Amino acid sequence: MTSSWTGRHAARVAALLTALALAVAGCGGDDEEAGGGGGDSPSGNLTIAYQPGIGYAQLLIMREQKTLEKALPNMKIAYKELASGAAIRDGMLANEIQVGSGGVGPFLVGYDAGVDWKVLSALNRMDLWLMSGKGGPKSLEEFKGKKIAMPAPDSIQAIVLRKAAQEELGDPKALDSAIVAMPHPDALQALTSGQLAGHLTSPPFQFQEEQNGAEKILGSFDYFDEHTFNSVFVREEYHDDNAEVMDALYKGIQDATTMIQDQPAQAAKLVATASGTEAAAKDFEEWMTREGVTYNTEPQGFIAFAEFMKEIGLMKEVPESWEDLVFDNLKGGSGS
Amino acid sequence: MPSSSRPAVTEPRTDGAPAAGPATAAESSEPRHVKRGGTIWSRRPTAVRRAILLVGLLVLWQAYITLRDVSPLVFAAPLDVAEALVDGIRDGRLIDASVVTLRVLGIGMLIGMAVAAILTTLATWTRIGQDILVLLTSMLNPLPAIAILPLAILWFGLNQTALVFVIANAVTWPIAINVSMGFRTVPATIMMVGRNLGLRGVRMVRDVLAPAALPHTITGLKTGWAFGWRTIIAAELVFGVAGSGGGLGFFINDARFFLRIPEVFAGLVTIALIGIALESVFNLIERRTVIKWGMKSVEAQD
Repeated sequence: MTSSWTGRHAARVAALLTALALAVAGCGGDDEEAGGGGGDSPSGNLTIAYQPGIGYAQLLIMREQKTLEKALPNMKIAYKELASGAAIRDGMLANEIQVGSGGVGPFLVGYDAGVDWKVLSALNRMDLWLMSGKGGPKSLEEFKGKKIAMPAPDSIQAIVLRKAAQEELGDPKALDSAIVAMPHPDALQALTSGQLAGHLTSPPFQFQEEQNGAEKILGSFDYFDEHTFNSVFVREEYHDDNAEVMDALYKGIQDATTMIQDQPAQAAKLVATASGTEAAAKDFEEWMTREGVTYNTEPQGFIAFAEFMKEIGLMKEVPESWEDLVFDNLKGGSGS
Repeated sequence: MPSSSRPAVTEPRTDGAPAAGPATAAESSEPRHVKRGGTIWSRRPTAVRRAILLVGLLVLWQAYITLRDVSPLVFAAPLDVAEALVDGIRDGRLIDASVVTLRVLGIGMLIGMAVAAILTTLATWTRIGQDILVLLTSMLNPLPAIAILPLAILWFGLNQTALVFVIANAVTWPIAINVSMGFRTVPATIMMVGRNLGLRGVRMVRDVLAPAALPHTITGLKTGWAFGWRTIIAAELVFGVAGSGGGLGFFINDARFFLRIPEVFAGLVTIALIGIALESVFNLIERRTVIKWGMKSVEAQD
């Protein structure tokens, strides 16, 4: 027994322990901040993530005009398009994305689960429509047993569907098994080709689908009044360490919002270019000025969504005030 | 290592098995170079050694979470995972998800087995059948079945038929390859005896080839189910059908969407446990049949 504990064995054990220690130490080593706080001009990486659609028009305009590149010359700025708010949240948790954007749903789910993030700015208020394909269901009831696409089961569209199901069908979960997670551009094609019965979507996809012969079944404003659709969120630690970056970002968003309101033609052209379809600038202008689409940086309706999400078990707690959900730059405004 | 070799987690004991049964199987899995009466470690029974390692890993895992203060939104502690596992089983969601996944896998496997049986029968019967089989298996076996999911969705829509199609495709080719290999390696003597008895066609396959090829058939089923199992989890993750009626891949995806990280881990643990359980069922069948009958040596068992 003693003879078995020779030097060789001891060396083996030591090597194993060292390897384990290295593995453990190596796993958590990358929590350095992506952007530096000090210095004259901040440096580091700044990755901004958004999703498909004109619901991110301000970010697209900033990308096209290189607003942040000009304001923060030493930062490495990158823009990324991801298919859902959940994907953006994952990227932010992995510290790959510093600034995320998305609907109220993924933001509140994350906030409730303990993600240390808040809203830096809302982007817009949009009526989100449930579209039914050509010859498809004519009422919510008829969607039972069929498929409705939306970006993710925690997306704002999924919350809207459940609220509609509660009010129209008496059970918020009545259409849960109909939900299919699919990026908007794919779902647009699937709806047009008859693969899907419905698509709970956002502008401009709902307008394009309407043009293709799909029919609006309901809109989110019927259930949540006029509410914020997308906003820009940042994790608190990054926000507090990078005040200058945050100022530049917030100012950029406000300037872009003003441009959309005052010079819609020019703004639409930039958004069209950023979307890779310069020729469609006229369509973009029409979409961005349609009824049910407004660009506004004041958050609206967060608490209403949170209350409903708590009611159906998607959140544990409703924040006391909308101001708990936002950074100081938005507090004192007329949000909700 | 005398009577101490108890069956380990992955090697359930077959009750009342003959002397050449599982006890020797467990012993023979010892590395050859380990001398009898070696270190304290190697003198422990297999089950004890594995249990110690498992507990050690769990303790390290928990220690990593506790000591490094890892965000629970990124990595779950083993205790939280155990709690999520128990909760998931108690409220039935994990069970339902497992049943859904296993049902799709089962249907896919049945179809795959039927197709493989038809193809291999034709292949032994006729020259053209053999050419078709060789051509199809060499084209389709190297193709990861999950790669045809987008096409399957296009053909069948976003429903379970698409999943069944993909699983059947994952399962058919490994079974067909192994069974036809079994048929081709049947000893010529047995074949001739069969022919002398006047057997041909389907009866030859049923009464001579199929029993003689049983070891290969079981290997084919084992490989086929392993392919199918991996494929269905991947397919369900991609599929993204929400709400009720989703399988284990969906369970994981849904938990991820709502940042319930312990549930993500609980789903993974369930997948591993079901994998181990099904694997042992196939090992058990092998021991009860081909190994017991001396058609396959104990060492050859994976």
